[in-house]
Amino acid sequence: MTLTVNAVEIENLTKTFISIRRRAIVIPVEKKRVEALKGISLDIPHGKVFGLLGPNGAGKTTLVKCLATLVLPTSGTARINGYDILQESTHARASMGVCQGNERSIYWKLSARENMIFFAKLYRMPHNEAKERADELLGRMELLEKADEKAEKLSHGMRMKIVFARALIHDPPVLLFDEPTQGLDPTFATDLRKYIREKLSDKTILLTTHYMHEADLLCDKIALINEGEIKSFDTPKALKKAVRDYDSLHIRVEGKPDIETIKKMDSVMSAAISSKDGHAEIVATSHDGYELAHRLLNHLHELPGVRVEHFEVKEPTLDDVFLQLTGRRIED
Amino acid sequence: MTIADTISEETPRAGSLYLDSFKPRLMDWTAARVFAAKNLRIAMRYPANFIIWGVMPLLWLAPYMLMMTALGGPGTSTSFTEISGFDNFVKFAIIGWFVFQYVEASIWSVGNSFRHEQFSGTLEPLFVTPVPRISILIGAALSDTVQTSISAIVLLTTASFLFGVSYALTAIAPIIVLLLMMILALYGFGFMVAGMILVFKDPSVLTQFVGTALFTVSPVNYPLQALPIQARYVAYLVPSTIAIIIIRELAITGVFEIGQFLSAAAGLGTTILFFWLVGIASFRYAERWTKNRGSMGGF
Repeated sequence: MTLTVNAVEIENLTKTFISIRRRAIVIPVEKKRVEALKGISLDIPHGKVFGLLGPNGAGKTTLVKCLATLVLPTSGTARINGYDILQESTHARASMGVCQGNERSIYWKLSARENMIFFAKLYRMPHNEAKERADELLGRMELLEKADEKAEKLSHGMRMKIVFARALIHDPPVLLFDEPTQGLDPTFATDLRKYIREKLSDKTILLTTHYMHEADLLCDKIALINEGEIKSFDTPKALKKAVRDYDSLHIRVEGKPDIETIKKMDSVMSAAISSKDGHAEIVATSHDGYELAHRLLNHLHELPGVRVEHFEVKEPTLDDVFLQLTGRRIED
Repeated sequence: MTIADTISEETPRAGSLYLDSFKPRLMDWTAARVFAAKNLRIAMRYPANFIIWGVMPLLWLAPYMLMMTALGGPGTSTSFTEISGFDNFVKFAIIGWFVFQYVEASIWSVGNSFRHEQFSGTLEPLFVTPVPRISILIGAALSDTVQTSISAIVLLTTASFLFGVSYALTAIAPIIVLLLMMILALYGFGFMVAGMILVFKDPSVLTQFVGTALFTVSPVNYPLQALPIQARYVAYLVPSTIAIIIIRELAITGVFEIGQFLSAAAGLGTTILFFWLVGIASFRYAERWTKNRGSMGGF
């Protein structure tokens, strides 16, 4: 009997990491608990692309690793294609392809084709079928000409394409993509996004990213995740609609102004600062960005050691939604 | 209203030819063979491995041979013959080294393979495939046994030629059976080491200690009777001891005694059972421990 299920079902999934610092190897002196996931529940219907958007350390990778059966959840459960990840983990693994944004996850001493065939055979594919499938996918990734070159001789982008293609080798109905375009040059990243959008429309995809435009472009629905909790979820359009009435003010300065003072200014809805090499970027949201810009620029002008380099009032993005909800920027 | 309530749109479970016919297996021999072939292919792409297979074992053995010859004269010593019952210590030691090649490799091969997968970042991708762990463990062990066979046969042939010794081939079949049983028993120990690699990542101090201790108590270069009596009991706990002794006797004398063979085979059979049960249980525990801490891919 065929069960009726969503492609991915997650029920109240929690994960707490406990690290114990020991003295003289055995004597515990400090116990540290990190709640990486705090009761995540969500269902993803077949054929949808679901995005998890959040900053580093938000819990995205932990969630993917739990679904991929690489990490055991503390409580709760999940099903992939109807198979419980704890009780029916082998079936669950057969139903999914996993791509983690790590070019080192293939064998560098093997060629692109050999890598693909090796993993195809682990999914019980006979040799000829494995070779055909490998060539088909390498062709789609425009890597057929390089198929016999050892991975160590290929570029970073090409190796990432092999990692990506490997996730598709057994044509699984569910795909888990963890930061698939991280560190890729823009051309390769654009190619992969195009491929996901155009060629994988029949797959159910859980995509984690901290690139807002990627989530915006690819996902049917997006969950904004921070500190192990889903703060909001909806279509990209609906999420942005929530902050449609706001403007997003971006100011780049030399020096580092006090963000707490800015947060307390009239009409500031939310504000965050990120600094690097003596420069800082302030992002603030307000009902009237131009009015706030006027007052904020005056305020910054008066601060010693601070010099405004650039300012811009922008349409709200998913980052502004995130900032509004968490007080934190996604790219932090 | 929960997130699940809002976006849930139930549809039938997705299927395919592969998924519809998929049944979990306790052991996937094809996967083990594919994994072993992959390891061998990679090993052959490191040219330095040919030196390890062909030359290194001989370089380890040579100093012992030279010292023995310097102390006892060419080939024999009265004291050695009295203790061991053999009249040629060069012949005695070379076959011991031949068997010990397998002992050492069988213990570390699986762990080393997992360590390599950890370093190369391929352990997690392997563990998300639906392949039973035991298949990966056995695949890793098989590939190393093939490499060790090349190395051990080169050692035996070269050393026999260099030191002018030869062995009886009349009892080759029982030798192979006992050797295989010993290798199988040590695979079980190797699974335990692989579990330790998952947990500790680099347990080099512990493994070095175990390796050295094993070499010390194994009658590779000396007859077991040369060990102090207490150490002799320890030596009998090591599954390779009985195999080294019997294989050596069969290779040197060429005389096959069914009673002696069966008792050695029974001892090794018990050891296989014990080490496999303990090895697989330890590896499973280690995998669970690692998954609980989320440290599978770490190194």
